[in-house]
Amino acid sequence: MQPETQNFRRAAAAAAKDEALQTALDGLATGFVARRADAVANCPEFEALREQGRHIRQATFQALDAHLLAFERAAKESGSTLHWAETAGDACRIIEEICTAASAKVIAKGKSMVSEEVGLNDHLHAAGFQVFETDLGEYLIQMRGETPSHIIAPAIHLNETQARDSFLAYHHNLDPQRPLNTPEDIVGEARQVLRQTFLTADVGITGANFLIAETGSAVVVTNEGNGDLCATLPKVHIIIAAIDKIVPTLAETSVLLQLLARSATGQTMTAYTSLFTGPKQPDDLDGPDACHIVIVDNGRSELLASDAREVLSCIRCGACLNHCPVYSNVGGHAYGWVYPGPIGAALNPGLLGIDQARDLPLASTLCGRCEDVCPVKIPLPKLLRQWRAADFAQQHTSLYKFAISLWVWLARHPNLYAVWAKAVARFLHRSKGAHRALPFVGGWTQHRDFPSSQGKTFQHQWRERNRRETP
Amino acid sequence: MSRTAILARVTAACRDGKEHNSVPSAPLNVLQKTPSELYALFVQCLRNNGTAVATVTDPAAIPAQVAAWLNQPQAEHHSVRIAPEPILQTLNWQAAPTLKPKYGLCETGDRVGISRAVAGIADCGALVLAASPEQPTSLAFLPDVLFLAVDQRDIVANLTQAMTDIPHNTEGGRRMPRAVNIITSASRTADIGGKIIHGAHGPHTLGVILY
Ligand code: SF4
Repeated sequence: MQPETQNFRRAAAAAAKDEALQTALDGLATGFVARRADAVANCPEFEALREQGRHIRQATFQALDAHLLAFERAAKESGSTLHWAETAGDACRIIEEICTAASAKVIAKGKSMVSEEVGLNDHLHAAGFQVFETDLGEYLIQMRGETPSHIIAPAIHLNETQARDSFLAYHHNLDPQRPLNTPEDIVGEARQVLRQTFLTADVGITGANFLIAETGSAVVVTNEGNGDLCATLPKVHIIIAAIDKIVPTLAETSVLLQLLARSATGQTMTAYTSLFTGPKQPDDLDGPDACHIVIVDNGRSELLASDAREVLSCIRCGACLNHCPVYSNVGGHAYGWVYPGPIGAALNPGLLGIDQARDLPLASTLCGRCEDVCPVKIPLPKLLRQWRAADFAQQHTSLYKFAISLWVWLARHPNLYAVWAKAVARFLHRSKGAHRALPFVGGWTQHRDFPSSQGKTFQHQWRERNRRETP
Repeated sequence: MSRTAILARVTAACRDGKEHNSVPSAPLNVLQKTPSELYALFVQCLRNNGTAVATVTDPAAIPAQVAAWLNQPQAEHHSVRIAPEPILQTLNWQAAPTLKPKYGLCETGDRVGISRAVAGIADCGALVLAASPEQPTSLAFLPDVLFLAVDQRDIVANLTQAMTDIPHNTEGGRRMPRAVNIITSASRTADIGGKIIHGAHGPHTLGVILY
């Protein structure tokens, strides 16, 4: 997916005026946020689980190489073929080769954020394969040529009417008079159409929520069961997952799974949690003949070495998006790339370079709700501040940098600071009323008046008070 | 070689000189419950998840229970696809006159699937299915209605226990099943306008028979 992260300001302004989007986003508070709160209230050990989750992720990264090797060994023992992809291009090329070798025409695909990140669908389409997303939300946005706007609810920006219109337009070979009045009708139609896809697909591609080093398994979590059909019916199953998905053991995976569903949708457990380990075994009645696992780096090993390592702990639950005042007002598309919301603002600069995504860490009030709800306690505000500092260090010439440096210099020279503050206080003084416009702060005064100063600095007033009070 | 390059970078990055934290291995929320408490909790959680539940005293009563469910609201003939599994296969399905049993892999058009879960998870009302020659995975996903039988003695306290109970490579050389499916409800989606609808791709109805 081509990043449009540099467009954030324009896209966010447009999103704030998009009525359909705003109505859709209004549903976040009553939906995800309320359901998560319920789930947490009903789970007395939730805080302890979070602490364990954070610990598991950090400890894993301290020996990630050993865990990757253990995963490789176990996965090979169970008959999977492993592939390593350094870049997005490598991942796409490897998967194209597997599909070509399988003489594939139709590919059924489960939801996978890393496949969006590497641009897999476009690549496979260009190579002549028919790729069908099978998660309903993904299917819907695929019809519309859009990208996901939320990590776990990719079509959250769309309402029922938009979904119906898309189905009518996209399934043009079906009877235009068919009843499609309710969400049940729409889901029923998708079930019918996609069932054919599952039955005819030569290859199934899924992501993985976790890769378990102990057993060489990929964990796929869905509510629809589409991931299970992708992994079971086609003769080849391809799993694409990034290096940060590794969890050492089954026991630790169980801790993360308990955090994931509650944080994501407020369910105790997602409807289907499946562990896939290798291809069909000799006497099994179904399952793929081959299982390929493509392990993607695409910049993560560099992040692991950086002071932003904690961002890799993310288990993609989406809670930080749902609770973010910025995301809830601008939606996911404004962020311009695969990962929106606080996690996007903290991760995208690491994957794309801060120069490509400098507005994202700025799009935060640092209110801290994201960190409060993160199931693995990622210090997102701290990471955003780090990216702001990194960005500042990179901007060698800008007026912004000059102004901040001047401020720092002034703050270090108290006498000069006092003179400057006095001049500003006087300049902002009005005997009555407020300022309707001021130089340099047009962004503020465009929407509201700037209060007038009463003419004296704080230090000045403090001195006066002390003089009055000392006899 | 991508593999060598990635692993070299990861090694350089993660060996940061700090002491490796040992990972806490004791699973949380270990429930000290008696079998009857586990049973009660399991049934309550199944119901909370919207799953139909019935308990029979003898596995021989499973066909009648399936028929009773399928005959709501009115008696009809149903062909049912049954996992080729010793316990289910030896039952006398003919005793339930409205059922027409078929064994083996699911075929297009099969509306009802019947299989057996290897475990039930008490604190979340989930069922564990493990692929084997007797348990085709697709049988749990293709039909519209899925009935799962589970032995009351196979109820475990929580997810951690269920997952660590799965036979895997390190234990006596037993291989991990190709697919382990932990099922907590019927298939569902909220992708069309935010409303929860059942039967997205998998079954729209889930029933559990405890024996
Ligand atoms: S950063 Fe935390 S809250 Fe946000 S998606 Fe990742 S795990 Fe969830």
